[in-house]
Amino acid sequence: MKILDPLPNDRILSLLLTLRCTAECRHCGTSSSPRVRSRLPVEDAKRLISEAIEADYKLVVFTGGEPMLYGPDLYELITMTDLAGLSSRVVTNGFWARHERTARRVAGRLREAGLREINFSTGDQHTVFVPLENVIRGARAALDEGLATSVMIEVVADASVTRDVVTQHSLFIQAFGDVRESVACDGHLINFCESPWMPLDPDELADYPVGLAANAANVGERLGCDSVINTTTILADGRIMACCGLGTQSIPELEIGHVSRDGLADGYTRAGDDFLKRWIKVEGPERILAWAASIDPSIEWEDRYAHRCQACKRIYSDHRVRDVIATRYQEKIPDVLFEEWLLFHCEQADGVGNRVPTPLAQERDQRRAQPGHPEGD
Amino acid sequence: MPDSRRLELNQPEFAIRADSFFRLMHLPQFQQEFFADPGGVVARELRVPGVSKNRVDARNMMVFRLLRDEGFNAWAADFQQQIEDEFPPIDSAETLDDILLFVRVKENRERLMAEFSQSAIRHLAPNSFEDIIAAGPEDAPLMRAEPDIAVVPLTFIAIVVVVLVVVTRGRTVDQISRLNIHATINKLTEDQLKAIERAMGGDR
Repeated sequence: MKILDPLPNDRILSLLLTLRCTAECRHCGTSSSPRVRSRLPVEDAKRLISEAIEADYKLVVFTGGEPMLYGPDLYELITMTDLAGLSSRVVTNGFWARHERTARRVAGRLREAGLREINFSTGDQHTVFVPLENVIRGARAALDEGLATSVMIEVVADASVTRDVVTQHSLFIQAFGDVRESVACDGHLINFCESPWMPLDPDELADYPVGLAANAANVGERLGCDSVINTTTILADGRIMACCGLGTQSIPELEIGHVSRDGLADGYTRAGDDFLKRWIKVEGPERILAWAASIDPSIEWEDRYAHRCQACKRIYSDHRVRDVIATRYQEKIPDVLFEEWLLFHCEQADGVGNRVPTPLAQERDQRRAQPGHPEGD
Repeated sequence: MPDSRRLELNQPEFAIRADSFFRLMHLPQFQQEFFADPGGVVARELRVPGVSKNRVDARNMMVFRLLRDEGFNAWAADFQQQIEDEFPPIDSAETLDDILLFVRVKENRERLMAEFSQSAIRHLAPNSFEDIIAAGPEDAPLMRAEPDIAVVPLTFIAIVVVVLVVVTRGRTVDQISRLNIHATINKLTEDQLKAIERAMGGDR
């Protein structure tokens, strides 16, 4: 893919197989806990994966809750996905990696089933219930099995679990001794992602490091939401949602169907018919909040939201924001559609064929022609 | 008190009509019609009543100009080619040793980025480029209303941004996309937008 190509509009199916979890984090985005027993019937999961295959989805994400509590059916679903040529990802808290031998056995079994990616969730909240050591063991085992491995870390002010804390942990040094420097290097071997932790209530403000929350100075850097419309999420109770965001369950407008009566295609069409969802996809919730506040200055939004899902929740729950959107959205339609076209459809000028070499290319060719250059001889 | 109404801006067959609009936008004549009367075209093609807008957003227009600029596209293709020549994609690695080999080229990457920076300095806009680089990686240099930045051509700004993304944040080229161009132009101030358009002979 060329760097100026239209962005891929890949679709993702996210299955919350169960809301049961070994952890019970405060502000859990899916309200999961050991006491919740909701479970998506495996027959429904299979049907939805079949529909995703037919509709050319690119990735199936198995999450929850804790998807590893779904039992043997999880491995069957992974294999079904893999045999159809789709990528699959498991999002786990790593509770199962209690010992090195167990971690290696489970990671190996996931790989044999056809899994391609695994994400470990950790941070100050998660480590109350799942020791950081489990995540380290699990990540090492996953890496050795060739799985694309990510570690997602909650970010709050004064967090005790950070990427540095993880990579300087004694077990990490021991487990990754041979490749530690490379693992710690951004984006190599293991993808560390430090993501803001968020309260589900848009009026409850979390304490974030300075500069992390959106404000007028940085809102231009906030891009569109890559989840809404393109990620179809199936909750364990069968509801079909238009995104995989945290707190999705508490926004009725994001519900686009139910597995008992609808298919993926029905939900996708419903989501695309709603201009607001397209607007969130193109501009992101922070820019919409800023726009609404420019019309109604009583809307306070700056330095509140580091996690965009909380900003999105604000859009749907604050009557002042809702009123501005409901009464003024028509004026945004041309710009939002134009920007969507620019992002996903507009073909760039042909800068490759039949052109005069640029100074950059000329320099490169001159360097290659110099004596001693490896490609010049 | 919670608002029980659903905030959905549903329009009949909006998705189908939007897809049709996107296809039509590939036609130069339709583009000109849209740029001349965006509100009218959207009201007609999307069948949405009450749309009134007589000018497209200036930032979007700049992105459009960049994507249609042959010089910028040629530069981007060369940039990508040189990166790909020197650095194999990490997803082609089959073993841990292959991955480690990729990681060890980090020093070469820094040299490559320095070469790109020097190339841009020599061939594009010497003073402006040096000022931007000197502003440092965390200063969001394009947010600052520096006079010499405000009048450099848009193409140059975009090139600088692509280089800055790679040089200062160590991202690999497969993480650069037209999103970076959108984000950059979104950061420009109104004054910078106007100055750039004047320098380009634009007609905002």
